[in-house]
Order: sequence, then C-alpha cells, then structure tokens
Amino acid sequence: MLLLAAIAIPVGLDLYLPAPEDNPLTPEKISLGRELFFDKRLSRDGSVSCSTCHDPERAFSDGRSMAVGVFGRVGRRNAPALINRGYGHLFFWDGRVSTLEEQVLKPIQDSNEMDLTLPEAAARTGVPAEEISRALASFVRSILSGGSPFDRFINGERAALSAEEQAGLQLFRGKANCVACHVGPNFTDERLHNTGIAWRDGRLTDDGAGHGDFKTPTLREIARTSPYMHDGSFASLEDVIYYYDRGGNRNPGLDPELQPLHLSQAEKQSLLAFLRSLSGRIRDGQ
Amino acid sequence: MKRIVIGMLAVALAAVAQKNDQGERLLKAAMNAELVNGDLKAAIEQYKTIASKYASDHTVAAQALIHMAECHQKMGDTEARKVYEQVVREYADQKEAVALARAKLGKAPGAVNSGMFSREVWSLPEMREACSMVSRDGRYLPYIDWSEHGDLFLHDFSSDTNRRLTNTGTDHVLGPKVEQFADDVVSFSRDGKQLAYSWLRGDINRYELRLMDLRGDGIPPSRLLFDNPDIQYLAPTDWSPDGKLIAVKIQRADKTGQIGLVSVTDGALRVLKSVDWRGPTRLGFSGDGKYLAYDRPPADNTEQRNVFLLATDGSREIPAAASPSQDTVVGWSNDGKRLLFTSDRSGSAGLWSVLFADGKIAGSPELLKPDIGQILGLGVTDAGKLYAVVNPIPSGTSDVYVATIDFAAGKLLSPPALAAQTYVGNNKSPAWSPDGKNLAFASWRNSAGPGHFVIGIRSMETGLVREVSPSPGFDALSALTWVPDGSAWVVRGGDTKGRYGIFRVDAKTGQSSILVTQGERETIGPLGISPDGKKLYYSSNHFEARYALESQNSFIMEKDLATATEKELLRTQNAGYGPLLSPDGQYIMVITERYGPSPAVSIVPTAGGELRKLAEAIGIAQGWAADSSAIYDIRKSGELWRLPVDGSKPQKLNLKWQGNNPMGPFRVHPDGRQIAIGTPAARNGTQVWVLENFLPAVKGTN
Repeated sequence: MLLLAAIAIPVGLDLYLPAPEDNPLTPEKISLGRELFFDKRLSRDGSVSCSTCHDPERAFSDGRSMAVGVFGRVGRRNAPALINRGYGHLFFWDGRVSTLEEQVLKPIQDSNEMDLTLPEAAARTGVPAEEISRALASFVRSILSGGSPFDRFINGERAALSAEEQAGLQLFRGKANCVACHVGPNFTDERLHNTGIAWRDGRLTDDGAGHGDFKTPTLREIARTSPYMHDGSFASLEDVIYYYDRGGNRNPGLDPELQPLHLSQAEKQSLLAFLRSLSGRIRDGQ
Repeated sequence: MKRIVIGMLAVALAAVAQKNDQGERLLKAAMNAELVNGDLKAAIEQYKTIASKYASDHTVAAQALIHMAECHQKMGDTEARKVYEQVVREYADQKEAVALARAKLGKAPGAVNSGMFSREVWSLPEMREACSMVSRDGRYLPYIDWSEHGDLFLHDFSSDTNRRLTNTGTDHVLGPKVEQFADDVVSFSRDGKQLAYSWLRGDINRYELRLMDLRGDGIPPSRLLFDNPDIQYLAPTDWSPDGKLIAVKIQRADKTGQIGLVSVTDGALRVLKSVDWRGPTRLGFSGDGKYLAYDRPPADNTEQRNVFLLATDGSREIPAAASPSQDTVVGWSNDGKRLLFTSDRSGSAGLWSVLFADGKIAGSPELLKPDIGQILGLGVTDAGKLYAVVNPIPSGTSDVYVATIDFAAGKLLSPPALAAQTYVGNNKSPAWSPDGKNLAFASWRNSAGPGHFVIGIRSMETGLVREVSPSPGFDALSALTWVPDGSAWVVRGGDTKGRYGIFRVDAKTGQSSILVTQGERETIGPLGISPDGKKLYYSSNHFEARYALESQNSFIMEKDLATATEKELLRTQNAGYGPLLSPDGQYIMVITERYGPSPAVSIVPTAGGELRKLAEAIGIAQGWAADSSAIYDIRKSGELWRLPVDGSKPQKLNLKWQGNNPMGPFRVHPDGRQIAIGTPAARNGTQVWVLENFLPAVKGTN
C-alpha cells in the first residue's frame, strides 16, 4: 500500500492516479463527493442516489440486469461497477464520454436515472454544479480495488494463487485469449469491441458505440458484480465463459478475436478460479 | 532484448498535426509523397499549394514551407534558401519554424550555440553494441560483445582499453546450453562506482536486474537486485541523484509496459505508471530527483511520441513539450534543469531542450542543434558533454531481393535487385500473392521506441509499394504467407497484447486476430494454408528452456479453421521448417536433425504418411518449385540444387547464387521463374560521438 497525498493506492495499481490539473485529489473533495454519492436529493423523486445503482456492498454495482432509476424507470443497460475508474479513458458502456468530471453529471440529468437539471441539482444540494462534478469525480476516482491474490502473485508471492488459479492465469493469457481485451493492471484495454452480445435474432438490439461495440469492462472484483455484459444478460461467470468458449454470437461486426476456444471442463474451471482471484479489498478514499 | 532502441528517426511520417484538420491532412499527404514515395517534385508542389491555401493559418503554412525547403535541399537546388528566408520574414510568430529556418540559414542567434562542436570518440568494432549510458565523468562506456556470447565489457575512453565485466554469456553457443546475455540498457550510479544492468536468463525466460561494483580490477562481483516471474523484461535507465532509486522500464508477461522505481537498498519495486506495450524509450531523473522524464505515444492510434514529466511520488504528470511531432527523451543537462529531447517538430530531427524548474515548464522548447539525424543518447556528463551513438543499427537488418532464374536452363535471367526502395535494410519475409501480381513483405519501423512491423505490398505491375499496418500491431513478425484467395496473410508474430503465435492479418484493413497461441516453452510458425483455404498447417517446437537453441519435440499440426479442431500430422525431434507447404498443398518440407550430425531435407504428405528424405545434406535456404515438383536448395557455396519430390536423385543446377546469403526460405513466383528472397542488409558500423558546448549561453538558464 502506497500513500498519495489524498488516498492510499493498493498493491497492483499504478502509484500515479491521473487527475486533471484543475481538479487534483483532496480529502475534502473526496469527502464531499462521498456525501453527494449517497444523496437521494439528486434524484427527481428522492428515491435514488448514485449508490442505488453503484452499491459499495456489491463492488459498486447493483445486481440487476438493467439499472432502475426514478419512478421505477428501467434504463437501457446494466449499471457498470465503478472500480478503478480513475485510470479509465472512456466512460459508459458506449464510451461516449472521456472524463470522469463529465461522466458523473450524466446520470443526474438522464430521465431514466435521476432526472434533474444541473441547476436543480445545485439548488437541492447547495453545491454548484461544477463543484458537484469535481467532488463526485474525485470520490469515484478514489474507489480503488487492488491487493487481490492475483496482485500478490504477480508481485512475487507465488503461493498467493493456487495451482488451479495459476492454470487459469495461463489460459487467460493463452488459449482462452482473454488478454485480447482484458489487459494491463486494470484488465481492460479501454476500447470498444463487438462481442456479439447485442446480436439477437439476426439484428443488433443495441448499437452501443456503433455496430454493436461496447467498452471492455474491468475484471477486477468480477466475482462480485453479476450479472454481466452491457445488458446484464448473463447471471453467472460460468455463463460468460461458456459464451466466449463457443466464440460468441456470430454477426457481421464481430470482433475477429472471438473464435471458438474448445476449452475443456477442467480448463473452464481453472479460468473461473482465476477470475475469482481478482477480488481484493475495495477502498473508497478512506 | 538485443534490439537497439533508436533515439530518433531523421524525419517521421508522423509529423503531422491534429486529426480533422484539413490543412494538416494535406500536409500528411504531401509528406507521404516526400518520404514514402520519394517524389520530391510532387511533394514540393503539394507543399506550395498548402502554403498558399492556408496562408492565414501560420502554423500549417510555416510547416509546409519548411518541408518544401527541405525537399529543395534534398534536390540540391538553391530554392531552399529562398524558402527558409520566407519563413523567417513572414512567419515570425512561428518560433520553432523560424528557429529551424534560421539555423538552416546559418543565422541562429541564441538558439544554436556558435561554439558547439562534435567529434567522434570511438568507433565500435563489428559485433559490439554500445550500451545506453556513459559514466558521468565521461570516461567509461559499457558495451555488449556479441562475439563474446553477449557478455558485458567496459570501454575506457581515456586509455582506449576494454575491461570484461561478465563471463557467463552464452549467446549463440550451440549445444545444450541455455542462452543468457546482457541487455544494452544500463545505468551508472552518479558516482560511477556501481553499474545496474539487465541480464537475460533463458532458463527462467526473463531478464533480471543486477548490480555490480566497478571498483577494483578484473570481473567485478555482482548481485541480484530484482527478479519477478511476471516481469519478462526490465531495464535500468537512470539512477536517482540521491543514489537510492533506479528508474526502470518494464514489460510484464501480458506485455503491459510500465515505468517503475527499484530501491537500491532492498530491490522493492514501485510501479509509477502503466503504459501500452510500446513503453518509454528512456527515463531520466530531473536534477532534484522529483520527476522522471519519459516519452510515449499520447494515444493508441499514433506512433508519434511526446515527452512527459512524471512525479516520482506519483502525484502528477506534466506534458513537457507537447507538439504533433516525434519527440524522444535524450536526458537532462548536467545541472539537471534543462530537459533534452530530439524532435522533428520543425521538419527534420533536431536536438531540442526545454527548461524545467520548480515543477513547471519554463518557456518554449529551444532548438539546440538541427539535423542531428539518428542518434541514441548516452547521457550528459558532469562537464556538460552529450555522448551519443550515431547511426545505431536496428535489429533484424535485412532486405528483400527479387531475381529471375530459368531453373530448367540453369540461367540467371536477372540478378538480385531490391524489391522495395523504401525502408531499405528493414524488409524481410517475402511472399508472392497467389495471382503473382503482388509481393508482400514484413517491414520494420523504429522511428522511436521499441518499433513495430507493417506489411509492405509491392505491385509487380507498377512497382509502387503500399503498406498495411496490422492492428493490434506486431513487434515481431515473420513467415508471411498469403491465404489462397489473397484476402489476408497468415504470419508468425508477437502482438501488442503480449501474445505470440500465428495470426491472420486482413489484407485490406490490417485487422489481426490470433489463430494459434504459442505456449510458454514453444515456438510455432505457419507452414501454409491448404489450397481450399480451410486448413492451416503449422510447426510447433517444444523447448526445455525458452531460449535454448535446440528443440526437443517437434510437431506438425493441422488446424481446421472452421471448427478450430487440431490434428497432429507428424511428431519428431529437433526439426526445422523452412519452405513451408508445397503450392499444391500435398507436402510439407521438414529439415530433420537440424543441429544433429546428419541433417536432411525431408517431406511429409499432408494426407498422412511417413517422413521421406529427399537429400542427405541441407543448404542455407530452400524454396518450393511453383509446380510443387521439387524443392530448390541453395548451399552455403551458392550452389543451387533441385530435390525432386518423386524421389529421384538430387540435381545440381548449373547456376550459383551470388547474392548475400539468404535468410529464411525463398519464395518462387507462380510463373516459376522469379524468386523473392530475404538477405541480411549491409551494415554500417556505429560510432560514439560527443557534442560539446551545445547548451545555449543564456543568462539564468544554464
């Protein structure tokens, strides 16, 4: 564990946590951001806060297939886990936003989520919209997961992963080709891919960023963030592995990296064991 | 990594600006005409049009004029001077362009020190590779001697003597030995008493960080400072001013590049930042030790590099000299206040600097020396002298040649000629398209950083070469083979995702995807695609250790590309593979006992069956006849032999190969007469130069 001025960086993550020069991390902003994150006044009917869909008890995800917002309105996509987003470059499943400062204001304004204008949000909380943005972004930036068995393993503690988990790591980087997208300390290339999930009955059910492309999510804390995919269509990691093993839903835009894997049952189990080793301790600026 | 990282390419295609800017897109097109096509006249016309059309956009217009002047200069005409004068006269607000133009005109007040001079201090003998840092007193330079199996030596400039530092290198030692050797990236402690170096251990398939105490004589004692099974490569690039930390660049097993600090006391690693596979070229501590200068591409979709300053406590990162240009870190001035970097921001590679004080960039970058060419910076000494390797040799230097042969008559119809005039010295692995109209080859690019491959395609009708950039990219690429319908290639490679294996690369889009993943102690390579396009044949050699020279078990595998199911066709020992699948898809050539006492050229039927010897001796390169009736074999003497598949006696042809020794298999054109062959390129030696009095004598800045 290494300490920056405002937060502790867990083992396995970069010491340099990017933040805009005009919004450096401070304990005060993180604290205000945490308050706002749990503040239901930021929703039209006072029923939801950021934490409703990004529950700290569920690794900042919500356990539902689709996010549910004000007045019980159901959103279009699964609420992504807010893990290590400070290292991200693209936000939302379709990657339409490139900064956390911009991203954190979108759900407040989305009619299916919190349904407020920014002046309304500012009036309700007494915090100017720009400060809401900076504080929420700082808090989200402080949500970090590291120190997992995997992190300890790659830092030299060779007993941190069992033999089965190590076999899973080999598959992850080899035959199963997971590293085609899930690469680096955060297990994401921060890029957009068509994995065929949105292809049903011969058509795209969601264009995503276009052509059925969606952003690669992190795999950190993956065992705690079901259901999976942008539409929450897979209830379990076993379902996900089965899907990729068969090469995904063939469609015109399918990423060529997706090919049938022919994993044996034992290999699937090893891969599953490895994915479960990616859970560590989540810190949110405390 | 034996590769020499190159500090700068003279001019990079990538010196273009923001996307979505029409003017700068036109600039890029003009640069393409200049640099890729070599059509200087066309480029001049295009630059002229841009300068006129975007006269109000001084940035674009000045860039166009600088490029235009350089074209004139290359053509040796006097127009260059007029154009430089125009830049100085009409674009005073474009400081960098004006500085360059003034320098070209020999009027560079302030920016270029008139007392500057450079001199050669050492010319490295063949097979010697300079390491990355000179001692701060300017007396010593470590180097690797590849004729001594990759051991590390120390050259003493003052006495012109060399001291052996290690004696356990085994590079290219045949036999059961596992390879180990030094890397070229090293770092002296500030007092010059210790040297940090990286050492490859083939038995564990990774580099480890070692320290040696240089005091005394003879081979110095060394100690292991850092080793981690998840880190395949790490290189010590600078030693902190307080002597406590070593800045390292790292490549993880998944090929993530990282910048880290290793404690000299206990070897603890602190990762500061993860970057993509391309990693930084060089890291350098600022004078106060609070920042590390490094370079990296600012985005996925560019090969240009920019220079950044990263706080060693992880608190911030600052762009040091942002510009749409190719910038790479050279180091710091001796007082630690001025960051030195090479840049082509003014059209050609120059040495630049920018002041950095109190955590802030002060002022604009200044051109110190224009036209510095390709250099590998070795650091600045306490006396303020910059040492650099000039003309560093890129790895894998090779060229592709095409010759025409009448095999039946034993006549050379046209002698070997370069297949491509672009990126000469960086092309290899030729392959004819199935219709014979194109010749594809792998082409190395190393304008800065670790480098990468593109695939060049020469039209045999027009002679023009176009390029396809694979995505994800490759830092290793060979054994190029066309798929039968010409829509893609199958290659052996290592990609930016950290995967090694056999990939398919789309010939139109460059999109690459893995077909077979290489195992931990395995080397695989494509042998060919069946004529119906449905089956991939590949070789798989299993090693006891990753860097061992001899394989243990060798396999030929058949993979059904539709179902991804695999079948073992042949299992043998210590085999090699060269000319791949026969054009009719009936046979695969195998070299048996490659390193044994009785190597032989053999074939195995793809339909199944026994291995059959065609010849008891093997040459240095083989290629299938276009009609699959025989294998041609070039012997070390240059003799050309025909080895008939029907089992009849090998025939010595009345023809001698007179080009350079081939590298890898050669490919016979579908017409049965032209052959394409990869050969080693001519190598220039490397020299170490020192640049003195290069810092500007401006009050308060030096």
